[in-house]
Amino acid sequence: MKKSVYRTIALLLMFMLIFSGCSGPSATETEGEEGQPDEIAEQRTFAIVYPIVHPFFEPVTEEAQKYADSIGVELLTYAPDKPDARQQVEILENLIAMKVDGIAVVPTDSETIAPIVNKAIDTGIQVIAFESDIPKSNRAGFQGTDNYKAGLALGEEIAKRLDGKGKLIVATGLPTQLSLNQRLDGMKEALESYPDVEILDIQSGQGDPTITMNVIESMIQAYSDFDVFSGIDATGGPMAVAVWKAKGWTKDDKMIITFDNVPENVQGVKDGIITSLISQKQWLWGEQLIKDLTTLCDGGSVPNYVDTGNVVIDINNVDTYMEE
Amino acid sequence: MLKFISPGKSKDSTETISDRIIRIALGRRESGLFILLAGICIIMSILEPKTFFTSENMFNILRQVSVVAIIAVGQTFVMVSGGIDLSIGYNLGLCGIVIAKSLGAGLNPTTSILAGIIVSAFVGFCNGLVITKLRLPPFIATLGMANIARGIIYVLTKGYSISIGDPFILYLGSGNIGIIPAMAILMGVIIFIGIYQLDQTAFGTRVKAIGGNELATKLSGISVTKNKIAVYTMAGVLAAIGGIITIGRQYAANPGAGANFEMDSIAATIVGGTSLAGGQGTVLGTLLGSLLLAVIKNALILLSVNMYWQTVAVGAIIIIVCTIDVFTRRKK
Repeated sequence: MKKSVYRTIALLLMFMLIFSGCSGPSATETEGEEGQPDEIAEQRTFAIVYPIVHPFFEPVTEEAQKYADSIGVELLTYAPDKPDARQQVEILENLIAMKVDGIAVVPTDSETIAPIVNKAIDTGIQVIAFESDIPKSNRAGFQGTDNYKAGLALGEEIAKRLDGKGKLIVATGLPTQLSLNQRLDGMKEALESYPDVEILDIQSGQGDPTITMNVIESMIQAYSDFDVFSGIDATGGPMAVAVWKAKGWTKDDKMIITFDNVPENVQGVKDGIITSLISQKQWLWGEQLIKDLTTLCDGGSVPNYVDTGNVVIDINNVDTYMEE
Repeated sequence: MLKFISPGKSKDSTETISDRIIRIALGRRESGLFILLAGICIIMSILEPKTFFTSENMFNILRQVSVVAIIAVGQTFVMVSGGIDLSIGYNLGLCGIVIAKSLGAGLNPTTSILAGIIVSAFVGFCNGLVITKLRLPPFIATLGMANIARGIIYVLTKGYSISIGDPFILYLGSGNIGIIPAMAILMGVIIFIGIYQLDQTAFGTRVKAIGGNELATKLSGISVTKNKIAVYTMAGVLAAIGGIITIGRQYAANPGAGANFEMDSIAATIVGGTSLAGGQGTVLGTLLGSLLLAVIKNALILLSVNMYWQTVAVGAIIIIVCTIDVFTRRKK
């Protein structure tokens, strides 16, 4: 009796393993509706491929899904389970095999992804990039933040809050992510105009919350005289907020000026921990992505490059910034 | 420190107790790790006198090492038994998400924490069951389970972090007992229990025997199945404790919180001297391995080493320490 119970549980687990781990695709489908078999032949199918499952992209999915539903397009959304260019390439290979009509992609590594993007285009799939560009590909268009300009905005915001004088520690994310490197370059460029603002150190948290937190703590230890912490990716802000809370600090003790309007950062602004945020306007992207792919599938063209801009969020506009 | 050393049998009846302790200590592999760790600390104290050897930085290191060391205790038992647990990181993350969801659903903190521990223990139990009953290699079984845990995390959260406001959990992850981080004290207790369990109990002896020679252990009448399931379940419970501390430390249950912990725990365990082939390993070694890696990572940041070179340095140090270990064992 006992043995048979064990065997039954073990067999059930084996099936779970087979369907989820061993033979499943190395991607996480976060959204998407299954179309009826007889409708698929007529219905267009678009796919959005993110670099990772992250709340930052949820507004994009929501807006894209809403618009796709309204025009009868099937939308699939995928993201690798970790920031891994190889997994993203595999997802794109699968989408080519599925013969989807259009793909909107945020590259984890633009160099790695370019050849597979070109392959998709060669097979007749329309491809656009967003958030982070793929310059060496033949993608039809790009929309998103000009990350270099966003970096400039971050640098200017830091200099403004420091009155042109102070010390800065920085945590970035994946060193291979083009958008983050462009932001860093922009920030450094802006701060060159302020010789009394010193960047004490730049470290990488690899996009991993625990590593990012450890890096922030160690930098605080190494440079206790810093004035501002700045996070270049969407993980830096939330982890800095946790460190500030543990230390009992507010923005009056040490400033956090960071990127992205993820919920923890927005709450950090409201709680008086984060001084200000530079945010992309990702809530504008979702609908436009589906519109652009539809235009391309209809034989039209889309702008090669659209900068959707950025917005500075602080305590004064934290509830209204999306309307600006 | 000295009280952790196993007494052993003296070969020389005229040997004094202190001589005996020193002889045994120097003969143990952990002493080499300890000397290396102490050497790095001394060098860092000279290079960074104002920042490294301060109480604040020591507590920083303790906070950064605690979760890895706790889950590495579970990994040590698993690896000594001849297995490996690749699900330990996402199991940690799953526990945090279950607790956060339970709290959000209105359950009281005790029930929520218990729910998280039970789920993680069940994941560990399932690992043991699949490995022993279906005879899947531990690498495959736990890799599959890691995917299941990761998938469930994303299904439950859609990638969003969940805020944690429970004072007890926050205290465990971010509070102090006196001046010492609460999580470091919890780590100390778990390490102590782990050392005792592996070195001084019949269970520990059975785990080593299974890792050393599974067939012979089975023929001697020991239930390999029961003991392996117990080992993986224990690793699941320790992952849960790591998960509770992590959500308390990050003030949120983050869906990505468990990523990389499996590799960190394996690295700490191997650097600590546990054999990948099973049968050999100590919890004290694992603690020292965890501390060594944490101190090195901390030191590289304090020394402002370029972020690209840090990964190279950590990888090189793992290889160097393990190479020295291999040569030392061959020599013996």
